[in-house]
Amino acid sequence: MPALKVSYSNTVFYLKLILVFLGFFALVMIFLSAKKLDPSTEIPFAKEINFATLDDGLTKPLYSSMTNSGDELRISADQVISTEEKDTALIKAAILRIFSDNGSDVFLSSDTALLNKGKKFLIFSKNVILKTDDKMKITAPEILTAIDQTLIKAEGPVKGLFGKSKIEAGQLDIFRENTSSNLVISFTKGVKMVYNPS
Amino acid sequence: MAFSQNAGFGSLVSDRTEPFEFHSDRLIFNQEENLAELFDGVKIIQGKTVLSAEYVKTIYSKANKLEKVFAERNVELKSDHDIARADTAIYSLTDNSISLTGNAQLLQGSNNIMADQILINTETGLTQLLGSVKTIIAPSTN
Repeated sequence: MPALKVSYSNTVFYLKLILVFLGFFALVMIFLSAKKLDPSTEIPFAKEINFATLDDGLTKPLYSSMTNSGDELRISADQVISTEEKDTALIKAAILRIFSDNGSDVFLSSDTALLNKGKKFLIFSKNVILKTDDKMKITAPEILTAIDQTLIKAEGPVKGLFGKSKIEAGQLDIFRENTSSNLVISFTKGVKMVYNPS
Repeated sequence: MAFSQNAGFGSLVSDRTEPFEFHSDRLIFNQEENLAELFDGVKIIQGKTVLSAEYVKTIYSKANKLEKVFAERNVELKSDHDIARADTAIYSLTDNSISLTGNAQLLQGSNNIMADQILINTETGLTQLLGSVKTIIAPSTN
């Protein structure tokens, strides 16, 4: 009888040990099989909206995310409604703001904008106004902005106003070369800037 | 050594109140530092005066007022029939001056003057040639 008791205790002991290892193995497998997510590349604005269910529109949406340059991006609108194209939504009275750690601020607004969920960009059109740090005001027929990186693009005619300077160009690119660099505002394709000293 | 002349530099004095017209292939604004950089085939037109260079940097005050224009590479300042060439030029709107340095050369009519620095007062038109000055005066054909 005592020999049986010892054998029972040993069996329970080894079973417990196996259970601990199995539990540990299961945990390792769970972590290994988990989908890797980079929080900076996830776009809540595009991810959380099912465009197919937007027939009645989504009113006063407000979303924010981080770009891969570390800037905070906020998008607000009066209404988001679905379009005939899959992955594309129409935004009414769109406003985009980009805030950076060094204090620079970009404000972009338009009457309408198209959000492409797959390509991760917004195209602002109709009464498009872009302001940077309240120093420069830029207008263009259409302005494209990425929603996963600090990147704004417009093709001419682009018009800018900076103090007493008026700028005209065929193309505008606003970007950050790296997370620590200043915001680059680049005008190309036949640039003309008129400064009136008086 | 210094050489001065009060004949002025083209129509620079009368042009100084005219608007500046910058033309280039590329313009980059750095609003954090209040400056703009212009690249490739830059031309600055003010009235009848034209400053051309390969690279130009414009510096603004906190109130976004243009204070200085730096020009580099193949710099040429042309006003009416007067031409000045140099490696670099600084147009100071606060000091009312244009300073051209590095292989500075002044061409007025048939006269060709080389100096270390050409300093032009945009208010009075006084043109000073500073440093080592070398003048080549073409003999009259009459």
